[in-house]
Amino acid sequence: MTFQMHENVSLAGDDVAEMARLTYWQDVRKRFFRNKIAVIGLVMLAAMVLVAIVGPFLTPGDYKSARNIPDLPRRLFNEAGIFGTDQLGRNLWHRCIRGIGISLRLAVSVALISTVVGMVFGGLAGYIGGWVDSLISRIIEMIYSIPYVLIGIAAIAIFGSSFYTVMFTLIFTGWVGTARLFRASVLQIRSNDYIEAARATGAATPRILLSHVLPNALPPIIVSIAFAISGAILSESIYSFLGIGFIEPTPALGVMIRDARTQFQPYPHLLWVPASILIWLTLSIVFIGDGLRDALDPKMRGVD
Amino acid sequence: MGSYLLKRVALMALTVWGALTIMFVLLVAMPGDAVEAKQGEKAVASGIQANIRRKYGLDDPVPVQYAKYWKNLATGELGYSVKDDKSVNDMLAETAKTSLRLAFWGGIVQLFGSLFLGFLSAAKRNSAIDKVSTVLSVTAQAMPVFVTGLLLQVVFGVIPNNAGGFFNQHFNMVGFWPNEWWLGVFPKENWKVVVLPAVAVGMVQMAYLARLLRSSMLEVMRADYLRTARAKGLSMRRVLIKHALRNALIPWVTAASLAVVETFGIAVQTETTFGLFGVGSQIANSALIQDTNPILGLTSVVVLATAVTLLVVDLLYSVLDPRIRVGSKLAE
Amino acid sequence: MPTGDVLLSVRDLRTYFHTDEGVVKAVDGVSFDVHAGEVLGIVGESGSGKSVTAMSVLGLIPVPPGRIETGQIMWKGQDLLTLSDKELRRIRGGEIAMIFQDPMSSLNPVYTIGNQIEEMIRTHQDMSRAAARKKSIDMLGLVGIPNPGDRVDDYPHQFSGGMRQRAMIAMALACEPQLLICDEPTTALDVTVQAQVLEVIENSAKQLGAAILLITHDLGVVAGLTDRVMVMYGGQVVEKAEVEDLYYKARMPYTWGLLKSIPRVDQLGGGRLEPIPGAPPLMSRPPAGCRFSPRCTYAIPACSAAVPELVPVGGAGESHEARCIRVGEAGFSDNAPVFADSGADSGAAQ
Repeated sequence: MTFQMHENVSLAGDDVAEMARLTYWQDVRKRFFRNKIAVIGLVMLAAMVLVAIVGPFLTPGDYKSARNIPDLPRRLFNEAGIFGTDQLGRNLWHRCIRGIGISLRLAVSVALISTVVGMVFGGLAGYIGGWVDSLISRIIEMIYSIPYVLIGIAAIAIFGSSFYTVMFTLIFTGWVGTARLFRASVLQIRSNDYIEAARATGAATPRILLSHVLPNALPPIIVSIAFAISGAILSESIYSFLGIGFIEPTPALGVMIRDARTQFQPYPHLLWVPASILIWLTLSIVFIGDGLRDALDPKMRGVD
Repeated sequence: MGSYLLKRVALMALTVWGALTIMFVLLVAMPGDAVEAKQGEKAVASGIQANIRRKYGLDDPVPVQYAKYWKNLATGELGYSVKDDKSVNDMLAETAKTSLRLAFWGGIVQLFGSLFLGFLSAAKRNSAIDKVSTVLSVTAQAMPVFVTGLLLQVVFGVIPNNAGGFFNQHFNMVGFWPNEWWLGVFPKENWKVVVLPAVAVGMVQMAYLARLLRSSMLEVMRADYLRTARAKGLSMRRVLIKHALRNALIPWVTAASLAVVETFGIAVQTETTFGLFGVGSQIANSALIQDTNPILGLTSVVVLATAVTLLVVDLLYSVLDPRIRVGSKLAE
Repeated sequence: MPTGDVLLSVRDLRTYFHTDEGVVKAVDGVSFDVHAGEVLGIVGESGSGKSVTAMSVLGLIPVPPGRIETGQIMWKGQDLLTLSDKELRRIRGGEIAMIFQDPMSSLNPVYTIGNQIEEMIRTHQDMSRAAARKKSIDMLGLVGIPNPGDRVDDYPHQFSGGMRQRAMIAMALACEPQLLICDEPTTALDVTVQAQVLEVIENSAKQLGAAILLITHDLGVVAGLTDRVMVMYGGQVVEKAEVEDLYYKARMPYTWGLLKSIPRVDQLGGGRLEPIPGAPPLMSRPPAGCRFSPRCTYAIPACSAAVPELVPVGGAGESHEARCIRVGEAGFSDNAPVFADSGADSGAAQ
């Protein structure tokens, strides 16, 4: 087996990237849009967003209650629509459209809120240090060690199943990841000389945080938002699948997959349709996230 | 080293106490209880309901219940399930075997798979194996475990079964787990049935850890000391294994230890998908009917087991990285 | 004039990097010789191609994006560019060793110093572990590490910067190489230990009879140590001379700029440092003609017409070459900076 050193081994005094320079953000944008997979992800996601926004206007009517209409054959392309009808006679395509909307709305709110919460706590822990750091780190660890199944069950039992219950459950378990990440990068950045210099000139703490720490810790956070969105979509489906997220008749994708399981042998498409849409959604965001990560990584500059 | 160990153990105890207390509070805050849930099966007179509550200590004031909970944990007697009047210890004994087997094989897939894929895809960047590992990792990130599990069952169960004959004989890997195991984890016959659940449990983290090892390998490969190693005239293989992999393993170990925590949630989904009944499924079932004792008892065991694993990993970490061994700030 | 046999002879070396922003001609037609036992200095700003030249010699250019396009690197009569990886590995570390700029990051943090030196020895010499360990301790002693017997089991983070660089020297010299390439060996160190480390390099290399290729941006370092100096700019050699000639008879405006930017304690009154105006060229888009012309005070239109040749400039018996079209003009070299006292030790402030 032969190995090759493909990497941009640094060349001591001569920095090859230095010899041909672009500004950081120009370079990021250029590399993101040249990444075919990332662009495909963007297009895939845009299509889904369009369906979620426009779809409900084009498909009015009841998508929740069971139908007593004469049983249509349960298959793709029956009279009702391209995905046919589900086990309760409802139009599967109409339900999927709503499901996409629920997933996207939920995931984006969860990702943004838990990122902000995580950044606040992680930033405080990393920047202030001392007992604040110890306290926040312990809380993070505690939340981390409770099985999320249990948190989901408790939340649904106490507050009932609703969009906001699922949202808060996901935020409750989701912010700790960002907090960990942000704490680590603040710690690392704080030890840099330019922060010391800013402190020495007497700049106030919030100012240092906003103008020095934040921009430098931003790239990993941007990537983590992307993965938090796909993670939240997956988590919703898992919660619903285990019966601790959304419940019938809410047309969430996880609910549809859960209910289709009992119908799987005769009607596999009832499962594969919502499952494929779910994967389409998460895949598009993972593609974008991967593209962002590669584009934002300063170490990958000037290297293919 | 001694005081370091002591500090880690103390922190672990604090975390476990906090997590279990949060859990206890969540359960107490839940409206209704198992007796009410049991009523769904058949109507029970309110006097009898009260008796049942007294029998299981459900009518005790919360602080008493909390004290009892810790006493139970300390004595190792985890109480009784309201639903079927079964000892939680027995429930644990029955379900833990399945969970341990699943965790063992899932862990093997996870750790060895990620080492193998991560190392090779970094060493042979842009090769076929790198591309396969990229596709795998993206798929694993984008697919919920229960869907992966169902897909695996279709490809290695339903399809060969429908094809029949030769295919069914050799490619059908779905079936009941055997009763007899060597050392508790090695199936005595029909080992094939262990493969799919193990892959389902291990794949998500395997893909993630492989990517992480790959990128930390690529980062280490840019380090100055790798250039030094090459300038020494070492072979590429030796440079990559002795110098690059050894350093790239340090962040990998951290991530792998965090992955251990996530494995529990993945195991619950896998158990449900493959019709296995492990600790996770038992907790989920008990939780749906708010049967407090099994929930508390079993989750406490899971939380404790996780904490001990993390502690062991933490110690392993200081063996891997000599800069931490001397007790520098990096240990925090 | 150098006396020993030619050890290393580099001819028309061109190392290019194929990046997103185009082809970076990091080394563009460099030729030089290193003789046994001599010390050759390569001087230039960062980005001048001096380190890439050294990495090319050892075959450590990352491929891709780098590629050695043309040229010959003759090592004791055989072209290193035609050798197999295995043959090249025998030479790397065994016959040509290298030490790097940053001793903080050049040693592997997870292995002991001794382990890393032993690995070097056992890669190139058939030696038992115990013997290799003993030799590692001897080498650490040679470079002036106190208590080498104890320190051999330390990890790099337990060493100070200067000691790490000594350990790197010990490792590089452990197999008695004939050529030691030092890439900015003192740049990352405290001023107080720079002189010591240079002394260790010089003394230990002499003791083992190794020639030295010293890469630096600091003409002060060069003055004290080298026999001959080669100045690089924009991937090309712009001046090559014996060290004395370079200091007192420099012919190329870029070299003058470098000389004027050395801090000197012996300069009388108004000894202001004069930095060279402008920045080094982007090597993906090198300027037309003489690469220094956009920054050169003496540039005339003809300078940007064509790349000037490297031509002999000194008198008979001198091996002095410079790359400048105005070098032959009468009185042009009067523009060279004049050093107040021309004592031989003037440049030796390390």
